[in-house]
Amino acid sequence: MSMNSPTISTAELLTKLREIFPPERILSKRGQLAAYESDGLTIFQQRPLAVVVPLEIEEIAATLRLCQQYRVPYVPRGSGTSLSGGCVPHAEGIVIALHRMNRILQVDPVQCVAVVEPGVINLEITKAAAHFGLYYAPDPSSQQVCTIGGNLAFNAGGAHCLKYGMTSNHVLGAKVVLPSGDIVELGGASLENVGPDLVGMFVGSEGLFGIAVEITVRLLPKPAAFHTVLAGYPSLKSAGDAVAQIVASGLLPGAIEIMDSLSMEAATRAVGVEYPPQAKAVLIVELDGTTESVELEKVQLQQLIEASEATATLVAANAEQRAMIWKGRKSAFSAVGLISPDFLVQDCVVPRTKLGQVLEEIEQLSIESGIRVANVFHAGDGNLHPLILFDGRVEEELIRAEALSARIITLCIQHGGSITGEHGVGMEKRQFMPDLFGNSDVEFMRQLRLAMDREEVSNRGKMFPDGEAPALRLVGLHPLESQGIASRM
Amino acid sequence: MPIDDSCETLVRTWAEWLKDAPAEQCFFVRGGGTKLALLPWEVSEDRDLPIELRRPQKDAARPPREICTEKLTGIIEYRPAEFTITVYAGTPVSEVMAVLNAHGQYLPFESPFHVATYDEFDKAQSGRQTNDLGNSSSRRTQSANRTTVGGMVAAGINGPGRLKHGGLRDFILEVRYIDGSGEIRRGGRRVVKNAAGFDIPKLMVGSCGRFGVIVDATFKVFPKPRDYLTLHFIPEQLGGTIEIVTTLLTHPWDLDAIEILADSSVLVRLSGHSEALLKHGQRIQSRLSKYYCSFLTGAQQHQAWSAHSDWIWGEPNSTLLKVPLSLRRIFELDEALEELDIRRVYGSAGNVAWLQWETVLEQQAGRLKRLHRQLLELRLQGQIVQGPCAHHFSGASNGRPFFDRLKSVFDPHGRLGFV
Ligand SMILES: Cc1cc2nc3c(=O)[nH]c(=O)nc-3n(C[C@H](O)[C@H](O)[C@H](O)COP(=O)(O)OP(=O)(O)OC[C@H]3O[C@@H](n4cnc5c(N)ncnc54)[C@H](O)[C@@H]3O)c2cc1C
Ligand SMILES: Cc1cc2nc3c(=O)[nH]c(=O)nc-3n(C[C@H](O)[C@H](O)[C@H](O)COP(=O)(O)OP(=O)(O)OC[C@H]3O[C@@H](n4cnc5c(N)ncnc54)[C@H](O)[C@@H]3O)c2cc1C
Repeated sequence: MSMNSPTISTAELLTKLREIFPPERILSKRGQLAAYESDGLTIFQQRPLAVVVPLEIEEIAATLRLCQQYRVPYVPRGSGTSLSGGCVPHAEGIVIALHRMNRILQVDPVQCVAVVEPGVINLEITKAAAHFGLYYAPDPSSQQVCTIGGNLAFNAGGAHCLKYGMTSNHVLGAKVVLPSGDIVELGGASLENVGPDLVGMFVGSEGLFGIAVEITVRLLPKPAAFHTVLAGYPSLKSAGDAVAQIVASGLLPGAIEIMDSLSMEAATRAVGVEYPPQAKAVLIVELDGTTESVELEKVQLQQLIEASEATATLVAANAEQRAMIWKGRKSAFSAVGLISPDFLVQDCVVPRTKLGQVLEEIEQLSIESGIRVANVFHAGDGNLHPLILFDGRVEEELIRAEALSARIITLCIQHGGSITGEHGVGMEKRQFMPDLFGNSDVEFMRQLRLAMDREEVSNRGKMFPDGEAPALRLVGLHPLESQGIASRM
Repeated sequence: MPIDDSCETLVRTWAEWLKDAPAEQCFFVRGGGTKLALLPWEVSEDRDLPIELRRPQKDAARPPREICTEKLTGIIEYRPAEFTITVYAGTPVSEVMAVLNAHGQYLPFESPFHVATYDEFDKAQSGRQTNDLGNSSSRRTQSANRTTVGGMVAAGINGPGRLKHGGLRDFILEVRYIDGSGEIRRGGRRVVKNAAGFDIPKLMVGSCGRFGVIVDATFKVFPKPRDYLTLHFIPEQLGGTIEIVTTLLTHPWDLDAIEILADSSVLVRLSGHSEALLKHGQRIQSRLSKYYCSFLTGAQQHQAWSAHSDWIWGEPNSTLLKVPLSLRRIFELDEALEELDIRRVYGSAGNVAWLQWETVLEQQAGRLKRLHRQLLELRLQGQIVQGPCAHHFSGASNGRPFFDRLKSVFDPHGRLGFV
């Protein structure tokens, strides 16, 4: 027991929870809890005391008041696809599973917003809005399964962030239960607000400031036209140079992505996409907008690609070909499972112009450590996703892989980048926070957290370096990846 | 473009002020000083005001101390290839716009026609004649030229460009600031994508200096569109206006800006390749053919947007209030305003109302009270941006417990203003 331990026994806690929830929405049997022990970063696992499944905001507020009063740690959970250990439970705490609060409360085609409960799956919003020609722009490649609440907590990204921004740019309002149990409304349905941007401050707070229970997101009209090009390059550097040329030309593509040869090999094996032979890297560029503007911009893009060192170019002639290009790209992560028994997904950012240099340095680190690294990344915004390939059965290989991963993160910090572009800090990266922000600013952030939650019950052990760490275990594919439902990106 | 020694000395000095002063000593930040209404404490300019319009004093014996960012100017780092720019807080916004413009980039939340002053600034820099359009109000020009980056962030005001790419909140990446205890801190990162730590840069947007003195800020910037075309729709009634805007919003027309003017006509701006614009504009026009529509280009286009900007900013003796809104609620608000004899325009496709009336000191307090009541009834919030007032927030207030808890850490003694 630590100083922060709950001041209530498990039995008493369950009794009190029964005053809030009907029995079928409190899970406390071993078998019931197994599914909640871990998230998308399977190296961390921990069994919670219980899981509660709220359907109403008031149930959440009552639970948080209870947790605050008796110092019971809790973890909000959407779909549990976090890749940074964000919803790993606390041994002395409970999980608040939000997946059944999954109603789309309103789609307003005039104001172009949707109001949804936190457990709504990202892609469901787009499906509900499609009828009006609208869509929800942030598209993490887990979008078929991850929830909007989890997206909000982690400020999730996707392939279209340079032009369209991340989750925080599309969340206009949120009803939030603070760790004290107070219910507040931040922002609203308008694109404008007065006073400090409180909803902006809440988004990305990784569950540390409380639970989002109702979320208002912006919807955009679906672009009338797309133009998707895939080009092969003799090296990562030459693909990177092409990105620099495209960006310098004044074009603002919806997406600019790069895959290296290992990821291409994996994608080919997994989904059968063919890439230009001998290419060491491919660049995917997608233009979107009105028919007229895309018609003109595609000529400009073609000239830029012709002037680059591209060895081959494929232009998607129709929606199917476009989908195929994206399928290859989005499957790349889980596909590396076909060329390596285990892998770690990294997520870090460098200034775009440093991409070439950083990739070379990563390659060097990979050679030195004897651990292979595949690279897939959002080149447009400098968001790298090195995939660190290893075999967990080989002694110490996980440890070496983790060491390499840490060196890559440090490298990104040294180059003026960030330790995460979209997957969040969670448990995985909390020890790097002081390197990124300095001790004093990290301590300041901790003070902010304490002001919201003096007992540190909300997602205890996340984001700040001194949290208690659950046990490590060997890695493998996320269950969703093995089923081919989702891929990491 | 390195860190500037004299600026850094200023920053350290202010930090010392905040650190050394007693807890009762309050402070306020003045940027260009164009929005005195947004200052938190009573300042010398308030002295002639009727008592009910005066701002609070924290400690009558200790006047608030001013931190003026006038000399905290300069571009710290501009990396066009990264789409990022870092500037000291006292830098005039017009200067930042001019520097970006020279590289074909811009801050998309601002109207590119925001005042011909940016063009003027350009020309003044290169020694050419100013203002060939001859249509911008000189008073507004002066105030717009003094507007600082810190003031822009702290006021959180967007221009018509908000609609397409997002607002200031969507383009701020990093801030350096001095907190209420005198610590120099940083939030965010100088890269276009980052998900680590709390999003303090966003909190500073609209903070009116209450969470800290912004020292410098980094923004994401975008390539500037090659050209613009404006469509001016003139419906007969507000009902027609709403129909036009609704149609515009629900089609994949990639519009830059939609503004509803005081006469209920609608300015619609498209951007992109000149060759594509005309065709695109015609398609929109044909879809809304039952409404009179004219196409504006060149000087006419500038004029239309300048006049719109003038309406909002060009009346120094008026009171200006910003009310976040949604298109559906325009009728309700319009009705309420009719009774109060207040003029209005609606920006960003009805997402914001700008309310305006001529300031008459004797009537001001009563008017504000009535308006406050109306906004409360409509569950709307407002912020006085210009004009004398005791409190610049009006109407409903949400999120208070969240605000208070943040405030207790950023400014534990409440020296940077409480309102
Ligand atoms: C195969 C795969 C592919 C992926 N691809 C991407 C990608 O392209 N881009 C990207 O950004 N991420 C990606 N991810 C990571 C993950 O999907 C995102 O982080 C997503 O936002 C998590 O959503 P979730 O519903 O699973 O949240 P969870 O994993 O359940 O929770 C994530 C965090 O949010 C907190 N939380 C959940 N709901 C709430 C709430 N309502 N209020 C407050 N806090 C809450 C949790 O406590 C936890 O800290 C991928 C993951 C996988 C497994
Ligand atoms: C498209 C567009 C067009 C605009 N056009 C005009 C125009 O034509 N004319 C016009 O007058 N305004 C215009 N504005 C509004 C103007 O940019 C803002 O109101 C801005 O706040 C004024 O800046 P200032 O330096 O004068 O601020 P001030 O009036 O000095 O201060 C405003 C508020 O910001 C706080 N503040 C200032 N600097 C800092 C800092 N460094 N740190 C913390 N807090 C600070 C102050 O305490 C105060 O609360 C426009 C804005 C946009 C986006």
